[in-house]
Amino acid sequence: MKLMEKVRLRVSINERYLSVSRLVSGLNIATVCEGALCPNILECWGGGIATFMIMGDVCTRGCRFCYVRKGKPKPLDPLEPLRVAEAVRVLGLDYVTITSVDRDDLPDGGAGHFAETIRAVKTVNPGVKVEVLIPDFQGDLEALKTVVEAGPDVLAHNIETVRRLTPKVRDWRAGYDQSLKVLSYAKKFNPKLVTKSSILLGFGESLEEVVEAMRDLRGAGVDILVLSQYLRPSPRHYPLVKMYTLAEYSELEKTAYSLGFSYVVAHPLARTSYKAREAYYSALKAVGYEPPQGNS
Amino acid sequence: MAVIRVPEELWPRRGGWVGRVVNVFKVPGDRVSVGEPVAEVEIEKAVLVIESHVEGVVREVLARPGDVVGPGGGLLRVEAYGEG
Repeated sequence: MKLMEKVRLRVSINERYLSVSRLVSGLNIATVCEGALCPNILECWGGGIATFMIMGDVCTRGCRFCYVRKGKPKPLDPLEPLRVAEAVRVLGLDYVTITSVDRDDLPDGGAGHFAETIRAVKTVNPGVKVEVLIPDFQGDLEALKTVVEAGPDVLAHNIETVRRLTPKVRDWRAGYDQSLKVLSYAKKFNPKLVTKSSILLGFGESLEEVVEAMRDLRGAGVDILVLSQYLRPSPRHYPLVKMYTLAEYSELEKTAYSLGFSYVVAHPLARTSYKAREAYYSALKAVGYEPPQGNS
Repeated sequence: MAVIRVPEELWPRRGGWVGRVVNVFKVPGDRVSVGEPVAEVEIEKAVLVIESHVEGVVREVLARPGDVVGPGGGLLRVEAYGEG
C-alpha cells in the first residue's frame, strides 16, 4: 500500500549542473549529493552548489537509512583538502558545506583530515564560510577539538532520529547520547560556534519523541535544527513508516522555535546542507550578529 | 535516430539504482519537443519525470509501464527534425 504520493522530480539537466558534475569528477571529489541519491541534486547542482564528501565515498558504518556505500575505505588522500579548496574557488562559493563518510578505521576518525580541509578551503578562499557535517568520532573529544580548532563557522552533527529508534536506524557504533555529547562539547570548546543537527522523520517515531529529541538538542546548545522526511533509498533500507504533511512540518517548526532554536528548516526535502547559508546568517542574526558585507 | 534515456547524468557516479517505468506519455508518431515530459520512472525515493532532450517524432517506444530501467535505460527512439 502506498503511504502517499512520492516526491516528483523533474529531471532537467542544465549546463550549470553539467559543469558541477565535470568539476567534481575531474577533481575526484566525492559528493553526498550523489552518494546518498539526494533528491535535491537537480536544484543544487543546477544552481552551481554541491556538498562535498571527504575521505572517500565508502563509509565504515552501516546505518540503515543511508545509501552511501559501506565497506572498507581506501587510505586518505593527503591532497584532497587542496582539491576541495580548488573546487570551492572554481564554483565561486562564499558558503560551503563539507561532510564525510565515517572513518572508524582511522585513529582520529579522520578529524585531522577534516581540519586540514577546513584550513585549505579558508586559505585558498579568504572570507568563505565553512560548514562541516561531522561524524561522532566515536565520542573522541580530542578528535572533535581538532575539528573545532580548525575554525569552521558551523559545526553540524546529526542525531538522525529519536532516542528509542537510534539502535534500529543507526549503526551500532552510533549513539543518541554520544551524538548529544559531540554537539554539547563542540559548543563548550567554542561557545561562539554555531551548531546544527538534523532529525529525519518517518521511521515510526511519535510526536512526543520528536519533541524530546528537540529538547535534548537544545539542551546540548544546538542553534539550528533541520527536520525532514526520511525517503527510503532502496527496499533493503529501513522501512518508511510515515510521510509527514506540510501542516505537520509547520507545527513542528513552531514547536522548535518555542524551544529556542535560532533557526529551523522544516521541509520534507530539506537536508542538513539545504538552505545552509540562509540558516547560518539567520542564526547569527538571532543572537545579535550582523551578516558581513557582500554576503547578502 | 536519437534515444531518450533515463539520464546517466543523474547521480552520475552512484550507479546501482533502478526504477520502474510507470508512465510513457508518447506513442509512435507523436511529436516531442525539448524539455517536454515523456515518461515517469518510479524509484524508491521519488518519481522521476523524464524530459526529452530532442525535438522530433517518436518512432519507437522502448520501455513500457512495469519495465525496470536504470541510468542510461532507453525509453523512446526519436527521429529528430533535420534527420533522415
